[in-house]
Amino acid sequence: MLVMRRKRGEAIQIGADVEIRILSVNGAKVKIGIVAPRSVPVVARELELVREANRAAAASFPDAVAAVAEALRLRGNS
Amino acid sequence: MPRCSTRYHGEMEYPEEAVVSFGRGLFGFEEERRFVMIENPAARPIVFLQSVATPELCFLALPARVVDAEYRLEMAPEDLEEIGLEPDAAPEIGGDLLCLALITVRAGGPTTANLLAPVVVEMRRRRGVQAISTAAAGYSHEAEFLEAAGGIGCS
Repeated sequence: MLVMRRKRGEAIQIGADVEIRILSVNGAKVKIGIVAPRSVPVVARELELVREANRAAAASFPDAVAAVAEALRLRGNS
Repeated sequence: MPRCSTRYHGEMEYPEEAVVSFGRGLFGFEEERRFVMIENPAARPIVFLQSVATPELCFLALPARVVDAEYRLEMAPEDLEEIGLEPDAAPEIGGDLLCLALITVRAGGPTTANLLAPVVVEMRRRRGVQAISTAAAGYSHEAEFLEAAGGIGCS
């Protein structure tokens, strides 16, 4: 992974079309501005993780109810 | 009374006021805006989050505090507004606010609960949102709630 130090107001250019600008820094929170063509999807990483998690949850196998009940029972006993 | 086919409970009748509206759908299922929550006494505390439009789409969910008794709910302002609350409200689980973790069961794998993105339902307005938790604790999208991972596959 390439690591760069940037200050507030500075930017990073990725390729010809994507610019990432550090708008503000407040403690542990960073506000970032992204300029990219419409064809480049920009989502927070956790959103993509949650999409994948939801698809996996929806695909739970047919005995899932019994499996969850069993998981709860085992946990209750631990 | 309207009827819908469900994944786990066959054909069911449901009162229109039982429908929970998700204005943004769920992540990865953005077109699914209407769900009913089915509770089956034999399966308690599991909540079945059944799509009204798609019979085969039914999430298994558990109250977040069943998964983690210490679970704290912190929501972004836009998620609070989505269910009709003030953007600076401090959401408290209980009362009108139901907080569910979606469960994933894998054949031969661990059963996990998504505490990063809880499904939050405002029961009075019947409005729901899948929130991304902003809790500093940093919840995982697949917290294992079963210690012996995989142990359930053989039962």
